[in-house]
Amino acid sequence: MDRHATQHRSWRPSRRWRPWISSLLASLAMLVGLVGPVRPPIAAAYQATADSNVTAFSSGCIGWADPHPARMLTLALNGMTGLGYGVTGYKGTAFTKSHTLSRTANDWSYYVHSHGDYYYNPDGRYYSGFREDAGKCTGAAIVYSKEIAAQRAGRLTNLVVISTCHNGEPNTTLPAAFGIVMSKSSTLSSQKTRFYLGYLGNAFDNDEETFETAFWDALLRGKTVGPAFELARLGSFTHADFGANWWGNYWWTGKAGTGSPCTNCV
Amino acid sequence: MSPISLFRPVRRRRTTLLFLATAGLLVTGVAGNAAATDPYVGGQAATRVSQLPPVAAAPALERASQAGRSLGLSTAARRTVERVDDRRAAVTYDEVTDLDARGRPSAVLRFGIGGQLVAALRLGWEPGHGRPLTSDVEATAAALGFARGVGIDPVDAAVARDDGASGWSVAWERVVDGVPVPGDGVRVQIWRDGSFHSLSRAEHELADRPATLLEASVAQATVTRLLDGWIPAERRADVRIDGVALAWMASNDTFEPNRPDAPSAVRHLAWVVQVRSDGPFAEVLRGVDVSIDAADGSLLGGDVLR
Repeated sequence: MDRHATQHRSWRPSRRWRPWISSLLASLAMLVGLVGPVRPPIAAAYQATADSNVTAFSSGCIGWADPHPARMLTLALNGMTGLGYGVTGYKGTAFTKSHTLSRTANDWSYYVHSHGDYYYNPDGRYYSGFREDAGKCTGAAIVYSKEIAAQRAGRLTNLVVISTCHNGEPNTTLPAAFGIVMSKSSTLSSQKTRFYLGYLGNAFDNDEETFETAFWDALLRGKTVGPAFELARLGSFTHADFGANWWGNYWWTGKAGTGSPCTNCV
Repeated sequence: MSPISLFRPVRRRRTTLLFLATAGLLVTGVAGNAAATDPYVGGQAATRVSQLPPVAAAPALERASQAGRSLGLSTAARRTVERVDDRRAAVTYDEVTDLDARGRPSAVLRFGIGGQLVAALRLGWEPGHGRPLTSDVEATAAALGFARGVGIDPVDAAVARDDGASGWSVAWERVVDGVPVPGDGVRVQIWRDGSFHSLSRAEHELADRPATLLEASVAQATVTRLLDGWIPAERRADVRIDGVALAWMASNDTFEPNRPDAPSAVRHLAWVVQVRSDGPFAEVLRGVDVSIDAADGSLLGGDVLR
């Protein structure tokens, strides 16, 4: 099981790791710690989950090892931790549909990088969703928005980033599943501490990583979610039709918690 | 060679590296731009931000004032300026933030080290209340006006896109020697009523154009061989080459994780071979763009569509 605990968030399983690096980094950390910022302690009360489908892009499934999914998981873990969430990352066999649905009821924030689309459900209707990893090349189960909605039972979420194709389009059913109204606002009290980010159409990994790197970085620099989104959109994208979309409160900080008294929060 | 003889040089190197790293910190300071010797690694902070002394900040503040007037931005009650070293993008710029009377950010303007405007953004979700623009032509004219107002005169063909409530996006993709440089050029976003939303421009360094170009068919044959090796035999028929075109591309680590985490700052002339999937394999991989160096046929990088 390759579950990532948050305390390991800064380090992905690195191909460059050498035994002497730990000593070097410890020394540098002491020096930097004298003048650099200190991350806030993790607020375990604000549970969050970050999932990334890495197996489908491993050499066993597609013939080469694509490093993007694991790197984007690290970006999300660092970003969410910096915003005060008690986030845990999952990938490989640890990122399953059952795990996602069991955790979502208590998640204040959620990130996923995987396949996403508007999928046909056995009930005869279509819902937005994304695929689990579960260590499978094919046959990975779809997590449908209606299943997330049922688990969350109308409770609101702070920050949701769906790093997949299609789930930023106007017909997506995922924002509502997380209790986020699909409106762009800087005034609605019901959206006071809410933000949903998704992509339009087919989104390539390089462009998504370029966008998310800038988005998380801006948030960690203290920008609010709307400006962070817009600064990220200024990036240099390989595909001219790359597009991202958002709903929620433009001026919210992205930080975990209610921000103010809230009668319908987790 | 014995294990001991392998170990000792490593220990000496560790001591040396620790000394050099410490000395480097003392000499350059933690906010120094060390992109060349300290490549970005995914998970590290993407930017390093430092304050500018007043004498260095003044030109950026004056440029922001001028550009803001040209773009129709609200008059700032106060401005801040920071030097930002974007380690992943390998660029450094001065970022000016306009603040309104309540202290809330109202605009962000970025200037390259040479003083050129590289980005401007009017903050806030304010789609505008004027008469909506109704055509690509109107949108392009409005966007061009903003670009020229800040001294940018795009030369290539404009592509206008209607983004619904978000307004219009007008882009001039950079083209060099008849070949596009994806991601480079000028992009202007305007609200539906034609008021200014954002402007950005990028221009990466290009490698020398090779004296002799690889034939497109050779690049396609190379990718066919790669696909034969990558894709399981029972799914190979689901994967096809869908197109090939020249473009100036960054090298990256999509197929070779040992390469740097950030795409290269220098763009290389490449054949971009578009691969798409059908059938059951599309559930795993919808597509991948494979970049083959147009000079020597080597694998430059790629981009995955999930």
